[in-house]
Amino acid sequence: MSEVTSWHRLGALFDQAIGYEGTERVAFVEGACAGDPELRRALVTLLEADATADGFMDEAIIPRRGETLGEPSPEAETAGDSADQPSVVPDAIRVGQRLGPYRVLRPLGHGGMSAVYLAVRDDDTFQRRVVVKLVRADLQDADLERRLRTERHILASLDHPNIARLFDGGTTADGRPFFAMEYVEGVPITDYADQHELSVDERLTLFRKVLGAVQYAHQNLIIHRDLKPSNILVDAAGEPKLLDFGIAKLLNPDLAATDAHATATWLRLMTPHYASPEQVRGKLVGMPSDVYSLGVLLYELLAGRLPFDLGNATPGEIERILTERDPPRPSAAVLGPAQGKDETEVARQRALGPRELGRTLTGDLDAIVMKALRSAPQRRYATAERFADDVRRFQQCLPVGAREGSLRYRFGKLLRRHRMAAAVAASLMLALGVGSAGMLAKQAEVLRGREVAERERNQREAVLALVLDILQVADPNVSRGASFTVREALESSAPKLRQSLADQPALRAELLHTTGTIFHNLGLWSRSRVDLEEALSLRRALFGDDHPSIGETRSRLALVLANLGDVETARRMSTLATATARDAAGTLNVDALDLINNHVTVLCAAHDYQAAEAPSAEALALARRSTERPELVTALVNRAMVLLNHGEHLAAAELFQQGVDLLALQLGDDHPRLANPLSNLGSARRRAGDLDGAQAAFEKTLAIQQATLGEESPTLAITLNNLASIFAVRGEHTRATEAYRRAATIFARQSGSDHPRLLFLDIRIAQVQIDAGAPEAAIAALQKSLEQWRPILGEDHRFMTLAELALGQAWLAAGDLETAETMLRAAHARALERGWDREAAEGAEYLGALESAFHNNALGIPERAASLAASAVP
Amino acid sequence: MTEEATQADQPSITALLAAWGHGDGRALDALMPLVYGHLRALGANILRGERAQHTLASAALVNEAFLRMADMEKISWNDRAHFFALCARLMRQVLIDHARKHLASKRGSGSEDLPLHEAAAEPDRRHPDLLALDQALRRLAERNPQQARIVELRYFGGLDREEIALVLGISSATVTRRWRMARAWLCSQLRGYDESSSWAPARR
Repeated sequence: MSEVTSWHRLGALFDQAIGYEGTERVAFVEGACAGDPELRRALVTLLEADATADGFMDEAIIPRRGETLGEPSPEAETAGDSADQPSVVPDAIRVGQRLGPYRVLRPLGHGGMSAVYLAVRDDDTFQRRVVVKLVRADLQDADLERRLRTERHILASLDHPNIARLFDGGTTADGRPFFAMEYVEGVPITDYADQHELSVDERLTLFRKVLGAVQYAHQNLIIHRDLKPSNILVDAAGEPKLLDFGIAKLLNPDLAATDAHATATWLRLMTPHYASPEQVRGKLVGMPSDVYSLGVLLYELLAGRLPFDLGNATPGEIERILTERDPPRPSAAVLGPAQGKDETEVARQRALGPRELGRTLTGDLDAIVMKALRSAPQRRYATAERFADDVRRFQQCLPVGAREGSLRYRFGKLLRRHRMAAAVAASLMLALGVGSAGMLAKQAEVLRGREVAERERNQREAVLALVLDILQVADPNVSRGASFTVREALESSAPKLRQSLADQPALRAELLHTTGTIFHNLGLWSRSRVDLEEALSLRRALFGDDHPSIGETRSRLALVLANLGDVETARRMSTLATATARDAAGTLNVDALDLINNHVTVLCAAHDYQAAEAPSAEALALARRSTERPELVTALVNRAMVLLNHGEHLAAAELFQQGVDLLALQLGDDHPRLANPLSNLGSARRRAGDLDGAQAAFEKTLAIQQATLGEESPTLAITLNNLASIFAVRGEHTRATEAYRRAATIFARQSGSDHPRLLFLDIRIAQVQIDAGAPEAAIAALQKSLEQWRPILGEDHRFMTLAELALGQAWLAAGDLETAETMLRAAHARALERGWDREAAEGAEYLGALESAFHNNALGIPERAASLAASAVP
Repeated sequence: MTEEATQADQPSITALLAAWGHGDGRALDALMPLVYGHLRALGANILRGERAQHTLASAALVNEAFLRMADMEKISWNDRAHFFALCARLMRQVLIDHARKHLASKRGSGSEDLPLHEAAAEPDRRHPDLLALDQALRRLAERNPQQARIVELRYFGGLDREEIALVLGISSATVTRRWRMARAWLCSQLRGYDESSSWAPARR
C-alpha cells in the first residue's frame, strides 16, 4: 500500500472510529485493523491524541475578531464603535439599521446588560419577528465571543413550549455580541396574575408551568441565573414564556467566585430581589440558585410582596439579610401591609379576603415556599421538579413529599456526554438502583410509612451524586484516553467511596460489592479484594451470617481469592456461599445458579475436579432448561473445564465452542466476555492435539484481552502462558521464552512476587531451555528456583514436584542418568501419592524417556531399565 | 494602535487585492511584500518577550491593525477569504522566521533543527512550540497537503470553517473532519505520544 493510500485509509478509519465510544470504539479499531498492527498503532495513537486534544490549537495564534466573512456586514457606520471605546450607548442603533442578518424595527427597552430591539430577519421568507439583544459594549470581554460560539448551540437546542427560543447569535461588525430570540408578546407573570385576578390555585398551576420549563432547562444542564417576573412573560393565551435562559452565565461566567467588586457590579446590573444568597456572595451558582429565585417568585405570586424589603440596601447589607434572616412566612406576611401594598387589595386580587388568604397559605404552602427560600442551597429543593411535585401534591391535597430528585437528570445528561464511562455507571446504577430498591422494599414491608420513602430517596440521591462524581472523573478531558477511562474513573473514586455513605452501611456495602465486582471483571484482583472484603464485613455486621446478600459477596470474593492464588480460603468461602443455594430438600435453587457456577469455578481453580464433577453437571442441566439465562454460558464453560480435566478433551472443546458461539450470538464475536471461553477452547483443542486450532483461539483471546484490559492484566498473562506452551511444543524456543517472561512480569506485578504461578513459569522457561539444547542452564535455573520457593511453598506443593520433575528431565538431557533417576523417582512417587494426576503423568513420561536412555546407553543396565519400566506404568 | 503606519499603505493594498481578485496574477507579486511587511511588524509584537507568542496579550491590537491593512468594505467577501488565506501563509512565515532567529540568537548558532522531544519537553496545552509545529506541518504536508493547509488557515490565519471551505473549495463538513484528524496527528507528534513517529514516513 502506498503512503497516500495508507494515510487516506487511516483518515477514513479515524473518521469512523470517532463515531464510536468506549468499548464499541475499541471493538471497531480491533476489527478494522485486524492483521495490521502498524495501522492499529497509528490509529490508536491518533485517537488517544484526539481524546486529549481539547483546546489544542483551537484558538488561532492571532484570533480574529469583529469580522465574520460568512455574513455580509454593510453597517460600516457602526464600525466606529470600537470595543476600545468605553461604554457605548446602546441606543446608538437606529431603526432600520442592521445587526447581522436582522433589521431593527424598533427599540424595546434596556436590560441590565443589553439593549433590546424588535427586529426582523430579511432573508427569512416568513419575515419572522425576533427580539435582538445587543450586549453593552462595556460588558464584553475578550472571551465573550468564544463563549458565545460554544454555548450558543446548546442554548439554541432548548426546545420547550414555555421557553423563548434562542434562534441565533453572532457579533456585529464592531465585535459586539448579539442574540436573536423568539419575540414574546406578554406581560410579566406577577402583573398577569394580578390583572387577571388569578386564584391561588390558578397561580400555582401557572407557576408549575414555569417550574416545568426550568426543570427542562436544568435537565439540559442550563441554569437561568436571572429568573424574575420581567423574564417570565405570560402571553394572551395565558402561557408563560421564560426569556434569556443561560444568557446571564454567558455574559458573566466568572460570576462564580468572583471578587467583591465584580459582585457589586453584577448586583447593580441584575435585580437583587430575586438573587439567591450564594449569588449575592459571588459563590458558585447551580440549580438551587434558580430554585431560590423561583421561591421568591412564588412568594410574590402568593403573598403579593417580596420576602425581604431590600429597599436601598448595599450589596453587603443584602448579603447579610439573605444569609442571616428568614423571611416572614407568606401566610403571616399577607396579614399586614408591606412594600406599599394594601393587604385587602392583595387578597382581592386572589379572589379572597385577607384572613382567608392567610389560612390558605398557612401550613403546606408556607413550608413549600420556605423550603425553596432556605439560605443553604443543599437544604432547598434539589430541583425544580421536586419543587413542582410538592406544589402539585398540595393542589391535589396529598401530603407534601417529593419524588426522586434532580440528580437523575443531570446523571442522564452526563451519561450521554460520557458514553465511555456509561458501562461502569450503568452497572453501578443497576446494582444500586435495583439492589437498594429490592433491599429497601423489604425494609419498607416491615416499616412502611413515609420515613422509609424519605430514606430511600436520600440514599438514592447520595448514590446518584456519587456516580455523578465518578462520571465527572471519567471525563476524557480529565483522564487520559478511551482505554483507561473506566479503570481510572473507579480508582480515582476510591477515596470518595470510602468517605461517602459512612452513615449508611447497607448502601455502602452494596456500592463496595459493585465496585469490587467491576474491578474483578477488569482483572484488578487486589483492588477487588479490598472492596469485597469490606462489603462482606459490613454485610455480616448488618444482616448476620445467613443473609442472601452475604452469599453473593462471599461467592464473588471466593472467585477473586482463587484468582489471587489463595485457593483454600476461596474454597471455604465459596462452600459457605453455596449453603444458601439449596432449599431444605437439597434441590438446587435456580436463582442461586450463579453461586453454584462460582463454586465450580473455584473448585476448578483449586484443581479439585472430582469435587466439581457433580455440581458442574447439575448446574449445566439446570441452566439448559432456560436458554435465556445468562448463567448458561458459565455453566457450559465450567462443565467443559471439568471435562477437560477428566481428559475428555473433545467433549470439552465442544462445550467451550457452544459457550463461545452463544456469547458471540448475544454480544458480538469480539466482545470482552468471549476471552475466557475462547482461551479454554484453545486449551481443550491443544490437549486434543489441534495445535493450529488452539493457537488461533489463543491469539483471538489475546487480541480481545489487550483491547479491553490493557497490557497489565493477569488474565492476559494466562493467555500468554498458553500461547507460549504452543510455541514450546512447536520448538519455537525464542517466542516461547519471550511469552513466558512477559507473563511472569505481569503476574509478579499484579499478584506479588510469591505467587506460585511464577514458579510454574520458571519451570516452563527451564523446559524450553532443555528443548533448546541448553540443559545446564535449565539445571542451574531450576535449582535456584527450588531453593527460592522451598521456604514459601514447602515441599508439599504440586509445583515443587513439577520443578523436581523438570530438574530430573534436565539431568536426563544433560546425560547424568543417575541423578535424573533419583530426582524423577522421588518426584513421581510424591505425585502418585498426592493424586496429582498431571504431575504423575508428566513424571511417568520422563521416566519413560529415562528408560529409553538407559536402553540406548552404550553401557546398558537392563535390570534398571526394567525396574524403571515397571514404575512408569501407572 | 499602529494606525498611522497602516493607513499610508491602505489604498495600494486594497487596489492590489481587488486586482488580484479580478485575476491579475502580478498583483499578487506586488501584494506579497507589502502584506509581509505589515505582518512582520505584527509578528514582532507577537513574539516580543520570552513566552509572549503564547499569551498574545496584544492580540486585540494586532487584530485591529490586521484588519485595517486593507479597506475591507471595498473587497468582496470571497476575495477577503482569499486575502486572509494569503495572510495565513505569510503569518506562518513571519512567525517561524522570528522564532528561528530568536532560537538562533539564544543558541548562538543558526541550527534549524529542533528535536521533537525537546519541543515536547515543555508542553503547552493549547499552543504548540512554533518551530516544532512548523516542522510537523511540513511532515503533514508530505502526507496530505490539504490537511496542512487547513491547519495553516485556521491556526495562522484565524479563518473559520466556512472560510476555509471556501478557500479550498471543499465542504465545511470536510474541513471539520480533516481538521480533527490533522489536529490529533499534530497533537500526537508535538506532545510526544509517539516519539518514534515511524508510521507512514514521508516520501523522500
